[in-house]
Formats: sequence, structure tokens, C-alpha cells
Amino acid sequence: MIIARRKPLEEIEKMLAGHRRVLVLGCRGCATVCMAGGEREVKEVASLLRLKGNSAKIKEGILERQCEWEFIEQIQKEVQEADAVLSLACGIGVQALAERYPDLAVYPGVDTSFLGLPLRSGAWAERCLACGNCILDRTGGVCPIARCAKNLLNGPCGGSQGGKCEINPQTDCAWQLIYDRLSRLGRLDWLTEIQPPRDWSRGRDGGPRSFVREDWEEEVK
Amino acid sequence: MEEKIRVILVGEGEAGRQAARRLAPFCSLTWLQWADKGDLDGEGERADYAAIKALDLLSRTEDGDFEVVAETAEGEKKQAAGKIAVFAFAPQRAMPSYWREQQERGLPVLSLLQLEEKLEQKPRAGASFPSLSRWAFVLGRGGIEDAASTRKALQLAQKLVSELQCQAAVFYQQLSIGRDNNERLLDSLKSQGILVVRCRSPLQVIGSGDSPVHLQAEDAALPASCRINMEADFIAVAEDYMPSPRRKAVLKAAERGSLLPPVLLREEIFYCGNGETPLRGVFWIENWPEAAESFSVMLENVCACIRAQGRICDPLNTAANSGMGTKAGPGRELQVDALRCSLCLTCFRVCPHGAVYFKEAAERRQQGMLYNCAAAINREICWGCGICRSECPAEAIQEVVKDFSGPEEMRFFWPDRKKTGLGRGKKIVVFGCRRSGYLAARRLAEQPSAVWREEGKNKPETESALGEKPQLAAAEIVVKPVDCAGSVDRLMVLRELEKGADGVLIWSCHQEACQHLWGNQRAKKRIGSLAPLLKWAGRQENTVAAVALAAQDLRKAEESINRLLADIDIHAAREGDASDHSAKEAAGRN
Repeated sequence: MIIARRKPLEEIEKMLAGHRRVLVLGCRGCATVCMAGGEREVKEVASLLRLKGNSAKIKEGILERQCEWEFIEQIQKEVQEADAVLSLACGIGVQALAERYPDLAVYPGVDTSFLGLPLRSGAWAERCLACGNCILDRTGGVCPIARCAKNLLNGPCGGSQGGKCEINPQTDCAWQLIYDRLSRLGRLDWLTEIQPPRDWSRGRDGGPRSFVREDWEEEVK
Repeated sequence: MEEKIRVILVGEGEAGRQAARRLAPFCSLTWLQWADKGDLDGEGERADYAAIKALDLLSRTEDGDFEVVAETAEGEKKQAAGKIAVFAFAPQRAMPSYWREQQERGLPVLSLLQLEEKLEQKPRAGASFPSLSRWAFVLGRGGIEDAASTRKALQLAQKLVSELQCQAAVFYQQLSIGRDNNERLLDSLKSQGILVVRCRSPLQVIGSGDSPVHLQAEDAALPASCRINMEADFIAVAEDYMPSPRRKAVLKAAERGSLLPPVLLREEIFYCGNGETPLRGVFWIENWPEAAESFSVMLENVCACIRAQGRICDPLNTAANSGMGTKAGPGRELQVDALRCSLCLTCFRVCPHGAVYFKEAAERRQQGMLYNCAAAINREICWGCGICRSECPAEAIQEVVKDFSGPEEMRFFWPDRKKTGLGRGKKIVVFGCRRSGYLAARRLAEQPSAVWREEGKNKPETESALGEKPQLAAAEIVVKPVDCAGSVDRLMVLRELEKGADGVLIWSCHQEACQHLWGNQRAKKRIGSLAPLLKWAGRQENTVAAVALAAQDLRKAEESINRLLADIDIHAAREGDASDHSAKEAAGRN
């Protein structure tokens, strides 16, 4: 799931300066689940902006998902009435809105942070970097790319102390976790294999990514 | 002297106490406070079955040594002995005076919270916590009302064993194991060698249906002296937490008796806990001596009905009936809008009673939504505390009000006795838990110093009736009752501020006393997180405050209002200064 958190209100206020009719738009997808851009957050942000005495007319809205064209279509009317949208969806939602409504000012109300999961209610942790070349099969289901501060493929580094990372002692050392997992699986011998340098072209280093599944792809009309 | 009718009164809660008072003059009453022997001490505190059992065991042995024989799930007899007992108790039912008394007797007694605090410190076994090294009792306060606290007690037992390497036993009377989690937990406790001792088996009604009623309780885990076998003419049922289907069943059974005038058996509201909280679902028999005959028929019917259902004395054993109780606030119900639910599981995680489950929602499929299931609330289990509603990020949980008969919004004016003008013309909204804050507010409003009050939909008294007092009025206080302080979310507070309130107070129960386990703590946290946001919005940070108090804590309630008013005034003065200053600066520049 995409994890995001609300931007500082000061930042939001600065973005909205000068706008007269603002639509605060939430998303019922990941942004709701990570408590950053659901209906509650939309109402809270709108309420706080009004309390602050923001002179703009502030409306509230929410979409099923801001990352699907069909859903984005549904707010045409609201968009016409607004001169700016504060999107509380992830960066994808913000961009989708901007793409669909090119004449509209669209601002991000949240900082899209990472791909992760909830540790408990109200706490989340990163688990995936979407690097495009999954190696979890070799690391016992613990990702060193996302969870090791140095993205080491042949870890651990010398800074692993007591199972914790030297960059942040609160964080578990990913390679310790990998070691523990593999020892439970009886596959410690895998660690003796040296991992060759990775092909990062399928990750971010290859530029913006996209792909097509030909069997599913719709005909371009 | 005429022989009195023999009655066994079951129910040792507030309802039982009050029923006992009213029954005592007319009958020879045996009040079952625990499956041992009754005692009609109306002034005595309500005591937990399991606690009494454990204390009894302790007091009957020398030097605090004691022995417990218990039967495990597999039927194997287990024996254990120890020196020290630690009693952990469901927070909301803990009685300070009861525990004080035990402590005075020199028995080591810890409340659930205290025990938890100690465990947080993680002492080494036998080091800083020697008294725990041999034995610890964790009493899971059973009963339908305490699903969450029972779970907590079970978890504590686990912790005691794993972290302190001490022995632990769970005493219970009616564990709320209706929820799978508890059942699993119970199994895991047993597998870890933790003794699970049932203190009271369900009472059995014996006989062919002819009077007198024969009541029997047998439990293999109990010493023979603790078993009961009693004879009575009637059983009086006094249960404050009876689930509504069960209540209806009993009422129906009574109706089928056809001889029973409806006045004889009815639901009544009794006041429990602090003596102020109304609770529904108590049976009371009116005009007892005159109606003995009808009553007897009714009870026979009840008993027959119970036997027919193949249950053992069902109305008395509420936990066995449904596993859980029903306790939604009067006339209110929480419902999930399946189309809004994001399946984030927040409600499932925060519900203190385990009332949330997930079910297929056909309407979602029709709408082509991502998931075709949504959260749902089990009404039999839900207490209506509203914590889930306040936490739901999708605003999918709504409170539906039907024939609401509970406490209503109330307003009164705060006296400006010193005529300082403090807070004059200000409006404060108070969200009061209906178990504490709201009751305190009611009392405050009834004080002669309160200028006047308006309750519910009643119109305010005419101005002439106010006499000389209006000029003393400082602030207007609007009190809104909530089922739990935990149901007050940030948005509710913001909305009040938007609507013109100058300050918002949340009066919750004391930390350990939340009926919903953690509602008050969550409210406090949530309100704390609002402060920086309010500051940004140009409001004063302490315009909003959460205060823990009990219904009788009028001083604390008063103080919190005064403090808030003072803070608002100071802030207003500062704002005034600042604007003066900037005006002067502007004038200077010009």
C-alpha cells in the first residue's frame, strides 16, 4: 500500500494563497487507509483552513480512487466550480488530476512517502522500493533494497550492531533479519554466494518506467 | 410468625443489591453473591466472585500459603501452591474501597493497571519483584460486559509467565470467550501451563418443574465446601447486563404464563457503578407479597422455558447465552456504510469489545468497487461507545438514533461570582462521557451558583425568572453527552469551534475507569494532537482540553472551566495587544 502523510498546514496554506474557490479532494484508496487523505482528513483540513480564516470558498470532495480515469471523470462539475484542487491522494492521484484537467491548479496535500504496511493501527513501515527486479527469493523474504539503509546486496555492513542499523538504531538491520530467516529455513549456505552487481535499468535508474501487457491492452482508438 | 417465602436472588451487581433491599422485608432471602453463601449486606461493596474465591483461599491458609487444585481442559487435575497472590482486576469494575480493605488485611493487591505498569518495567524474576516469583493470580473478570478486560487479563497472565517466569492462574467466573480471540488465547494459556480456574459453574435448576425450585452449582474445580445446593420457592433474577434477546425470552416466557399481569415483570432502569449511571435490563418484581402466586407461575414458566431450550438456567448465565452482551447506548446504534468502508481495519483494531467483523457487501460488488466485503458491527456485542466511529478514516461509521431515550444536550451559564468579567460572553462546549463528565455537568448545573439551565428541548426559563442573576453570568456552557470520551474525534471539536465555540472541553472518566478500556486515553491523545493544528489556525493551543474526572469531581470540573476561561481571556488580551501594537507600528510608518 502507498503510505503518505499530510503536508504541514503552513505549506498547504502557501500553495493555496490567492485562490478563491478551493476543492479539497480525498481518495478512498491507500490515502484513506494510511489516514492521510480519507474523508475524515478532507473534512479536517477543510475545517482547519476555514478556522484559520482562509478567504477562499472551501469545498470538500472524495473519489473512489484518484488514480483511475473513470473515477476522476466523476468530479467534472466540482472541478469547473473550483480554481484549485488540493488533492489528498498520493502523487499518482495528483498527477492524474493534473493530466485530466490541464487548466486546473492541482496541489498535493500529502507527502507520498513509501510503499509499506501498518505495523499496528497508526504506525507504518516501508517494505518495498518498487525497484523492478525482485530478489526476495534469495533473501528469505526480507528486502535488502528497501530495508537496508545502504541497499546492500551482499550484507551486512560493518555497522550492524546487535541486530540494529548504524544509520538508525531504531531500525532492524535488514541483513540480520535475512540471516535469521535463512537460518530458520536452513538455507544459510545461500549467503555464501556473492550477488553480482544488479541491473538497475529496471529500477529508477532506467528513467520513468511503464509497461504493456499485450494480452490485456486495449486497442488505441 | 408467618413463614417467609424463600427466595434465591441471583445477581450480585448493583441490580442485585437494589433488588435485595426491596425483597428483604418480604422474604427469606438468600443472595448469591458468589456460589458459596449469600450475605445480605446492602452496604457492602459489590465483590467479584473470583476475587472473593481467591481471597478466601488465601485467608484460610497460614502465612499466606495456599493451595489450589484445578482441572485443566483435558480433565487432568493440577495442583499448585504458592505464597503471594496478585489480583488484577477489570479496570472499570474495580472498587477502590474493596481493594483498600484487602490491602489493610495485608494481602498484596494490585490493580490491572498497576500490574501492567510493573510489567512495563520488565523486572527480572526474583529481583525487584520477588513477590511475583512464585505465584500470580490474574483474575479475568468474566461476564459479558468485560470482553476486552478479560482479554487483557489473559494477556497479562501470558506476560507474567513469559517475562517474569512466575506461575500464573486465571480465575474466572464467566469468561467472555465468545470472541474467537479470547478462546484462542485461553487455549494458548492452557498449553503454556497457566492454570485456568473456573470459580463458578452455571447454576442448575433442578426438579421436574414443581415448586420448590432447586438450585445447584457444582464445579469440579471448587472445594466441596464451596458447592451449593439450595432450595427455594422462587428465584429472583437481577441482572443488569442481560442481552436484550434473553430479556425478551424471559418476558415472553412470563407472558405465556398468561396469569401474570405485565406490571409484575418489567424492565427497569437501575443506577449502577457510581450510583448515577442508568442501566437497562433489570428485572424487578413489583408488589411482591400480593403477587406471590402469579410470580410463582411466572417463574415456573421461566424455568420450563429454560429447560425446554436445553440450557442450564440461562437467564442467569448471560455469558453462556450469546457469548457477549449487548450494550449499545440507549436508542443509538452504530452502522457501517459498506460503500464508504475502505477496509482499513482500523475499527477492527480499535474496538475495545471485539464487535467488528467483516462480511460480504453485495452493494459494493454492484458498484464495481475494489473489495466486495466491508466492516460490520455485531449489535449483540457492540456497546455503542463510538470509538470506531471517531477513528474511521473513511467516515464510514455512522450513529443512527432510534427512539433515543438517553441523556440530552444541556446548557447552563457559568457564574461570574467575582464579577471580574472573566470569560463573559464566551461559549464553551463540553463533551461529557455519560458515565462521568456528563453526570458531573448535571450536578454543576444543579448547583445554586449556576445561573440557569436549559435541558433538552425545553425552552429556557423566562428572563424574569432569572432574578438578579443574569449579570453574574460569565460563559455559556453547552454540555453534550457522549457514550465514551473516545467517541469525540478531532472533527467534532473543529466543527464546534467553527460554529463559534470559544473552547471545547472533553470530560472523560479516569484513566483506569473507562468502560471501554481505552476510550478516554485515545481521546486524550487525539485532543493533544489537535493543539499544534489549532495553533496554526491562530487559535490558542489550550482552547481544547481533555480532563479526566469522576461524576462527583465537581471541583475538578469547575477548575477546568475556570482554567479554560482564563486561558481564553489571556489569549484574547494578547491578541488585542498584538493588534494594538501592529496598528501603532503601521501608524508610525505612515
